[in-house]
Amino acid sequence: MMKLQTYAGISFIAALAVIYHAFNSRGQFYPAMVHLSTSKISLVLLLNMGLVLMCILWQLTKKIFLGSLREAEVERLNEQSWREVMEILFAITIFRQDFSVSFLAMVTALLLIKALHWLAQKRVEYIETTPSVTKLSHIRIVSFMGFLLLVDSIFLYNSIKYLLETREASVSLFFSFEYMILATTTVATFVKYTFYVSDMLMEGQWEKKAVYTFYLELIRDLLHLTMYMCFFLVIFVNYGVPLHLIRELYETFRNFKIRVADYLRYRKITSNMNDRFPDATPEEINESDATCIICREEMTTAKKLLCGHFFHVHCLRSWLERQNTCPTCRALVVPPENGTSTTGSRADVHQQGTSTAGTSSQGSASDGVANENVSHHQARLQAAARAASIYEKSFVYPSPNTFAPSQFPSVNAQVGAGNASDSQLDLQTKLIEHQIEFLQQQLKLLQTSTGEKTNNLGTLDVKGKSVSSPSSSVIDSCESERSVATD
Amino acid sequence: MASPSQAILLLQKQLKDLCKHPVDGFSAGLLDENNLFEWSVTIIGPPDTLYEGGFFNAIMSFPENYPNSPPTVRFTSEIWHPNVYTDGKVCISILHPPGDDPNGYELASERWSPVHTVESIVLSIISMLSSPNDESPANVEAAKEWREQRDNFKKKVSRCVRRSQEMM
Repeated sequence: MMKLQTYAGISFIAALAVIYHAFNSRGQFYPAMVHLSTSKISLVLLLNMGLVLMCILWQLTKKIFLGSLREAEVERLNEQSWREVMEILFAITIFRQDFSVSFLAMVTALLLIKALHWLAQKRVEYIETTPSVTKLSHIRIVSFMGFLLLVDSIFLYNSIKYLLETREASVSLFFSFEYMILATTTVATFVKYTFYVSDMLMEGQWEKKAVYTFYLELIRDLLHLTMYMCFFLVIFVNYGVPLHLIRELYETFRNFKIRVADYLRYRKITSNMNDRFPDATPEEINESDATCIICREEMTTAKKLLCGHFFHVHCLRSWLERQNTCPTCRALVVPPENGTSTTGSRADVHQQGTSTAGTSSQGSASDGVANENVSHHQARLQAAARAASIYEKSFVYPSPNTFAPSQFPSVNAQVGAGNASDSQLDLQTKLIEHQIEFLQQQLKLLQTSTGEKTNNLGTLDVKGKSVSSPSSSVIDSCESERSVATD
Repeated sequence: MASPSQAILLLQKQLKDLCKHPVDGFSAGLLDENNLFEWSVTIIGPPDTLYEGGFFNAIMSFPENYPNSPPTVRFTSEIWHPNVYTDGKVCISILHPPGDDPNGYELASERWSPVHTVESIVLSIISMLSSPNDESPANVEAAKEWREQRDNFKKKVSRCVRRSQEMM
């Protein structure tokens, strides 16, 4: 700000000096004017003065309507303005035959007006996300948008009038197009703002707001896309490839594509949400802690996903717009047609089963079938533990792959994958309980056997061997069973 | 298409929770009392790591449609870490928007989910501090040092730690 002031001061003094010099040396008005407009130095200084005046005007509007800028706004301004300057330079190269002082002035004005538009957008976004906004800022932003729209339409009107009068492609084409885009953006921002205000007046209960905002953005993008296309073609026909448009055209196109894809997916998922997902019964809700994990509010009614997680219907819907997985466990909400995920999770269960079997069965787990029922497992685990307690020396240490930490995430993932039915989950918990029991027994045995070790060091070697060979056979059997299981 | 009001309610709730039950390892509050969408977080360098003893400030900015989109987290304190951009932006997979990563580095399952809270995000950042992931680094130079010249890396980190203490 300080810098602008000193700069403005210096420019002003310089301009005054040039004018004074011109009048002083030429004496009369007309020769002085001729001198001012032909001498290069005075021309530059006067143009500079014009620039300063524009900047001051810009700062003034900014001060009146926005006050001081927030950090995010300044960031946006800096970021965007460099891009924009580059693109305008490209545009100047296209319209080089029209290059003149007035063109330069118009371009600068356009740049400054554009900057005001970015700020307006950013400010509306900020107001939307701030809980307590003073009345003054509402009045300010509304009048600011009105002002911008007025400026846009004045410039647009002038350029179009010029175009109609001359009836030939010129730089006015460029300006009318730019102001058209700006005007539509302002209107869209304003409508978005009115949505926000009406939502606020309804105390945040306006459920349709999101839908309307979505349509608004869709329409705005469509409008921009068509405008860019038209302008691109017009410029291409009259001048050549409009380099400055390529980025914006591409971005608008991409945004539009993403939006349409979102829309289609959203329609597909939410069209029959009520039928697709069953309502959770009150008992089920009470069994869980009755909080929707998305909004952390209490649930009185909820929708149940395939994986058994509950959510508010509106929370679930807004998430499903983005992704069709369960927020808690990331299981797909819709089972895939070919059923790959279910077989995958089943294979997981099998692996789980085999690894437990491997530990328990002292290498005799070659009977192959992994997914026996629980009681079978239980019997084997107990038998193994009993056998181990009787024949202290020959029990099998857990083979390295069965109790490696990596196994536990697989348990989680499996539970998380959620396609398992409740009975499978029960089975899972029981298995884990048995594993814990078994491990505790092993620990006891280990403690007794260490006592033995101190007595008899000689047996240690023998023991080590007897341990290693069965465990490797366990790994082998696991491998083979896994291949059976995945079939 | 979640409305800002949902985000406001949820963030208010989290703020209240965190005030009532502070969590070890970090402190969190609003940057500006009127704006629930910008949080200021101070992360205490986790013990037994290179970052031990540091107090790192970060700003967490939530989008309007939180919790359906992730916030961004930017360290304002200087920090040298493979997963933090040189401008302070934190790059961890749970902060990336949902959907599959076009580069194929991350699965959809590692990305944002609406169940994440300020607490869970900060805890993820703390765990990122204790175990950097140098496979998809944000700060390539730091990742390279972390892999190849651990001593230089340590030196730079301890300088950051010292600076962060001086700033307190």
